[in-house]
Amino acid sequence: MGDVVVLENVSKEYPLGKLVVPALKDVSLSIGAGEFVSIAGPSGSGKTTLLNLVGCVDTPTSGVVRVDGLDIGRLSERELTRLRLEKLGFIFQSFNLIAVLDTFQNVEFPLLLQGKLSHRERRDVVVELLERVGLGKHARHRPNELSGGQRQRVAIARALVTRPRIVLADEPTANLDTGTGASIVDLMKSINETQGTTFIFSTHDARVMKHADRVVRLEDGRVVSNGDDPSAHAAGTGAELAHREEPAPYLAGE
Amino acid sequence: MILLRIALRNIAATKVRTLIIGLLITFGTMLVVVGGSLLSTLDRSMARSIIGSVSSHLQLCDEGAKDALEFFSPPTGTPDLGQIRDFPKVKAALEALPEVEAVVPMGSDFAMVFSGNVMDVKIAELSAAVKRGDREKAQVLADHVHKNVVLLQESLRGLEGFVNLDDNKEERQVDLGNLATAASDEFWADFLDSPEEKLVFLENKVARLAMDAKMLFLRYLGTDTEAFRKNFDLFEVVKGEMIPPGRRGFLFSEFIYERQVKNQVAMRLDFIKENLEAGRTIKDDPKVASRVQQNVRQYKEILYQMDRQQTAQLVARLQELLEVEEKEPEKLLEQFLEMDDENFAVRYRFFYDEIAPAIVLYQVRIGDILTIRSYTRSGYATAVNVPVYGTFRFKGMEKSALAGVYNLMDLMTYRDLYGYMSPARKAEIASLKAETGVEEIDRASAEDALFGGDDGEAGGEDGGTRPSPGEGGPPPAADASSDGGFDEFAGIDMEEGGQRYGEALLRKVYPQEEIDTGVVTNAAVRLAAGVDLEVGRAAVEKAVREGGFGLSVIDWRQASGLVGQFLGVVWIVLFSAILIIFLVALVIINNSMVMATLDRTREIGTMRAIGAQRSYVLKMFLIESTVLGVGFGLLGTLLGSMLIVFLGRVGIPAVSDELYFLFAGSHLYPVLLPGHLVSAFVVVFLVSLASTLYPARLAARIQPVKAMGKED
Repeated sequence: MGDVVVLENVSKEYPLGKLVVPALKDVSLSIGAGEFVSIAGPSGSGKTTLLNLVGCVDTPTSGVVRVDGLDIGRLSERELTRLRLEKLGFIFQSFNLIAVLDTFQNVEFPLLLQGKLSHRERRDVVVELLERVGLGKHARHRPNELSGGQRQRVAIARALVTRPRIVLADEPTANLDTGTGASIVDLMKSINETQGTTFIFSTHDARVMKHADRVVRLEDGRVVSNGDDPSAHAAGTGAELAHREEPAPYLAGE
Repeated sequence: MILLRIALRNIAATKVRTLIIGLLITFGTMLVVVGGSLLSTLDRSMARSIIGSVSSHLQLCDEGAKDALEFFSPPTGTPDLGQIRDFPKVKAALEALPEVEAVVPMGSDFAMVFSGNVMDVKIAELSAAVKRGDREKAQVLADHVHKNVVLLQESLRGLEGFVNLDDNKEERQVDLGNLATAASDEFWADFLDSPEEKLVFLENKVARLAMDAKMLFLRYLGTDTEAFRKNFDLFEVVKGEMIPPGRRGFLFSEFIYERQVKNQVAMRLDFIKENLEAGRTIKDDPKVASRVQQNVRQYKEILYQMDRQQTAQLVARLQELLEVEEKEPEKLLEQFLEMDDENFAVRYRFFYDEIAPAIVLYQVRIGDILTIRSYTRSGYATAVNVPVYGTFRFKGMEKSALAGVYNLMDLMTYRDLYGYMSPARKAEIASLKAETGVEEIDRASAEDALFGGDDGEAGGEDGGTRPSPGEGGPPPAADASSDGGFDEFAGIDMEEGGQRYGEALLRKVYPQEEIDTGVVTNAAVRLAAGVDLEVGRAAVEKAVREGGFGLSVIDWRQASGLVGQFLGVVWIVLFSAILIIFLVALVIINNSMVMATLDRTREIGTMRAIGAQRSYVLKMFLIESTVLGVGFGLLGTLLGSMLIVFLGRVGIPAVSDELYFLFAGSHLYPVLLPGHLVSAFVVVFLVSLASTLYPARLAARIQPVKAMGKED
């Protein structure tokens, strides 16, 4: 399989008052289809920026980002939105479910945006997926009636419902306890293995990293390690855990 | 539809916000529906009142008029309306239009009419009886006058103490002395033996001390009476008969006739009766009770009018009714007039059965000749006699003072009072002179004929009335003028031909050309049935322009003056209230939506990240506010409609004279108009849309990256 994500000499700068803060510096990276990739690095290293670029919610200051072969710098806002809808799935650190919709409707939402499937088809897809993530019994529950782990499962189901090529997850386990986090990663991994969906996720957590096929390490906006064996980084775990106490970077440019 | 679901859920999720916005929108729509329907109904009823009574749809008046034509504004002098030149031509041109049904010439003015006090009248009658040599009648009248003088003396006795305070102390002393003389039995003992000197004494020294003279303020409308009757559908004759076509004549407004011309004691009794019938009581209603007290104080109004025999009869009947021994008529009458809720019905009947026939119930009776004095446009005073044919009212507005403000007279009389000599008028006088054999005479003798005539002083001196006993038609009378070099009648020999001339004038049937030719200050234009006011107005304006008549065309609203403007003011108030409410609603909805946008930044960012286009977010907000607007708008419309339907059943009572007129009756029954429902809806829709545009744009601009990172 070819590469679904390619970054060529990508830089990203954020204006901060009169200063310009570099978030990514000359990053080149490719991720193949079906990979289960972890983006690692301390806070402020550019993990989120990288994910935002790959997720087409941001564009690079220089360099080229190709998602599924398309140069996102050349796409219009509408086209980017379309691309996200069709090719990408998002799992958020804070789950980001739509509060007024129940589990079923949250998962159904991207299908409604696509408008391709009939009511019946949508129902079948959503019901099957909810079974898959273990929420078959919670279809009519609102997000505030679910636990954190359950909410993230809803978010995973929502990310997968359109059968995207790539699923992006920004710290998907950061708001969960260790056990729940592990089960979420297990779920993602099993979907990756059974369906061949590419997963790119950022994390601080060494135990999460261990599941990854590959760990891309960032430091100060640069890729310091690309494609290593995740076990090689176990030693750095202590330092990574120390960073967890800090506020997680909202934008990498902070 | 997921957007609708999201919208509904969001609305349900923010209850306080929804409640506030909901209340505003509900109230706003209610106001549009209720206010709009009320005012439209009011507009219709008012149109009915004004169009059906004096104004008709349109009014024409002189383009160059100094004052505006305003029928129902308080009179502030006679407005200078200029005049319509060549009315027959205008009438012909306009009546040829398919939009116009009729053109009715008009002119309005006012005059004071003084009626003599009872003392004056009785002394005059006495004087006449003496002149005729009717000793029997003279004796009765002499007794009556004597009795009245005594009553007058008694009523003034209480005031003696104040005489010393008067600036004209000496004069007052003399007056009281004269009164004492006239009240003494010696004065009357040999009255009939040498009455002349004593009559002069009574007329000059005593009569003026009685101060019960009435002054009638009459606003009148001079018009082509036949055309008026035909074209103002609310018009109806109540008492007497319609002025015969082409004749001179006067019709009292029934309202004025009953409230001002009628004996005041009787008028108050009527008022009390009306109020008791409406469920009020003398005991509890201060307004009704005050009328009773006023009557008690004014027993003299009755007593002055009765001679000794009638008084004696009254005493006997009252003793019977009240079951008392009291002999003093004053005391008896006072007791009688001190009515309460229990005895009112009986005493009311007694008044009309026993007392009313003996007194003058109306200062001016149907069939009387009314003498109206007025200052003409040229500034000289003129007096014109006109027979009173009856009274009229406008259907459904019997109780409205405003609707009853105008009395009606023929155009010829109006023109005489207006004082403008048209060529046709001059010709008419010439022909009448020939007919009646009048010759030229100097002014002195003309005046003599007018005021020194054997029918007494009443007509000339105080402009009041002369009863016309028992005749079928109106009695002879003369057009008269007191002074003034331009007087059209100055050249007529009243001594020989005046009476016959006057008589002929009142009997003459004027042909239509004569009615139409002459002074017409304004004219009512009645549109054909079904013609829209504005369409009709445009057609009339065009015709007026093309004919070069130099007239301005105003609609009934303007012509009605203050009353018509009143509704305009109410409209403005309503519009402002609605505007303010919806402005507030707009600001609040806008604000809360902006807040909601900020609150939901992450959610919206998430939607955008997942793949929702900007337009989708925009739609989401618009739908939300539309649902709010439409939902509560419907509620407000429904509530408002229910209120109007309810009011339409029950009716809003007219609690004052003005409302009576505006409502064109005792109740206003508001009608629900679909137009108001639609406009309420459109307004609400636009407001909710407008108030969401900004927050919706704001929301649509939220970047998908906002979904990323940790929750704040």
